[in-house]
Amino acid sequence: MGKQLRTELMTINMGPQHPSTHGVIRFIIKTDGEVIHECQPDVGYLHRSIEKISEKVNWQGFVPFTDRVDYLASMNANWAYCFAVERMLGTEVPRRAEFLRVMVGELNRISSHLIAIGATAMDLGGFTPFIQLLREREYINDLLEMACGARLTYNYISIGGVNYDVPRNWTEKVGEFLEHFELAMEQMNRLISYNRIFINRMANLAVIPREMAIQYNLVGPNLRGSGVKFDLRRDHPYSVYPELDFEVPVGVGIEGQVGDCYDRYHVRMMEIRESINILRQCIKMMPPGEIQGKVKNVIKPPEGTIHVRTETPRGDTGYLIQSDGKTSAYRLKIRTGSFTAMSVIPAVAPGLFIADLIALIGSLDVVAPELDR
Amino acid sequence: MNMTPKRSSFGTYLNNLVNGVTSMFEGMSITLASMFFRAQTIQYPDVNIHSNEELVKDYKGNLRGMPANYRGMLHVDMEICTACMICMKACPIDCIAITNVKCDKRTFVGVGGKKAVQTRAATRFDIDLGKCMFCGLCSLPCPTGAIHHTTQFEFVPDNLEALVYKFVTPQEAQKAEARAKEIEVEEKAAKAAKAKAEAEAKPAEPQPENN
Ligand code: SF4
Ligand code: SF4
Repeated sequence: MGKQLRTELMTINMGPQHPSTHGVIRFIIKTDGEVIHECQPDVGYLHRSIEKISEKVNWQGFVPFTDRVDYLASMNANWAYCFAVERMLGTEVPRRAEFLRVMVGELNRISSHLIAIGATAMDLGGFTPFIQLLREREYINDLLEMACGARLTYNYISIGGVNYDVPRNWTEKVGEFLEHFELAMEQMNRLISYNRIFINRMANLAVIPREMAIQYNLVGPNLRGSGVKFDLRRDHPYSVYPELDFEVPVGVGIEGQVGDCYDRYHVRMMEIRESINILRQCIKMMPPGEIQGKVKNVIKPPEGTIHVRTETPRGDTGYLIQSDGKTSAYRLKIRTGSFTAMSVIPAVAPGLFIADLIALIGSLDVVAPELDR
Repeated sequence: MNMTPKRSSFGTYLNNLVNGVTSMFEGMSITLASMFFRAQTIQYPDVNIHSNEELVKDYKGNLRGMPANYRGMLHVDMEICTACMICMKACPIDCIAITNVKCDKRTFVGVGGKKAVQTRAATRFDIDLGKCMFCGLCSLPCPTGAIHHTTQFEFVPDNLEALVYKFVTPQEAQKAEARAKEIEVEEKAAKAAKAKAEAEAKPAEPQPENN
């Protein structure tokens, strides 16, 4: 034989502008043909200095900026920040406001998971589920718009309560929506969850074992997908969650191994079901009364540092706030679920096909603005 | 990897094939069924979505018209604005610019039945809607409800300056300034008169007049 053919790994860029990276993220991939040898995520394209902005605007004025941290779940982002400041101030939040927060938070969790599921399906080539789920999301947007007047960046939850009271028939409207939505979810299950092609594509793919998930500090549905039963709403309860009855779904390897892509997908599907449960209970328990606690016009939390974690759709969102007793934060650090989800990709990507990497990103539900802040 | 069955046999192959095809038809049946649903979308610019009646007339879907509390373009009702600058301080990105001068004292009832006392009038009230993020933080603390969101969201101009909405016209500002000067003069006169009266009332202790 003549000369040996020289082979080498090829380095390709996926992104920053790539439809399946859900925002502006770049992956530097070393491939051997179709198989990934190394995958390095490159983040930072969506950095907007939100943490620095908190040092310039006043405490209440920072709430709209938290909307932009995670635009798919801004209610939960508002909530996490307001909760942290309330803990610093020692403010009591009225009971009605707490229930409203739980309701809008769970509605927002559903709408965020709908996008996560729909986007996963779309990345794998199924366009129909995405459109259908977006239609369902519009109903939720309508409900949230009735409550606060905005469809995406809500700025609804304020320090000490919520900004607006809901219209009188709002809870009934939510109830009606849930009736309709359960049927729609059944249809979605037929369309994706039980779809053999989808299952075979997701099962046993990019398995993140339990230990690895804990080591990489995965949070939220990604962690529960690996079989760890940990939910801040249950394990470090806040607001009125202790009074509500709900399950914490975990991945059990329903179609393959524990911690595969399908498990992560399935946990989200089950969480939607639990959110429906929680909403039904809230509708029954919603008390009348005040919606805003006693908060001074100019907020000046006492000196000190606080770290507060809440369960948002993308896992546990932590706000580390340092106050020096002035009208704006001295330092504020946001810890989000997408960032650690990103860090696990180099560990599980080697050996996958390029097309499977897209399924992995989709199943981790990474949202780029939350990644970079 | 994912698609490889443990033991490849013709049976598994056939099974996979049947499963795949049935799944596909299941999906197709849902897609087909939704063809006969009522349309969920509207032909936006053709339909006036501000009027709920017109929307309902033309539209058979389940979405509703815009709610009255929609946070659209800002508007200020200068009749009931007391130029207190609370909204200006509340805005996190400084879209609002207000300057004010003294004016005749006026008591009135604002939106929501709150009583308000006006002692100053605005000579400038600009909102830069190009910067505004429609967060609603300015309208929440307003004591009279003068600044509020409207359901209007179509206000694209052809230049950036047109996005700075001025709620006080130059004529009104001139008038207010002129009136403020008059008030200043009047107040000075009133003060002097008062001081004089006081001095006359206490003749035993003559005070040096230095007004
Ligand atoms: S807060 Fe209301 S009353 Fe005060 S200046 Fe603004 S619009 Fe006018
Ligand atoms: S809506 Fe928000 S950004 Fe716009 S002027 Fe009011 S406070 Fe400022």
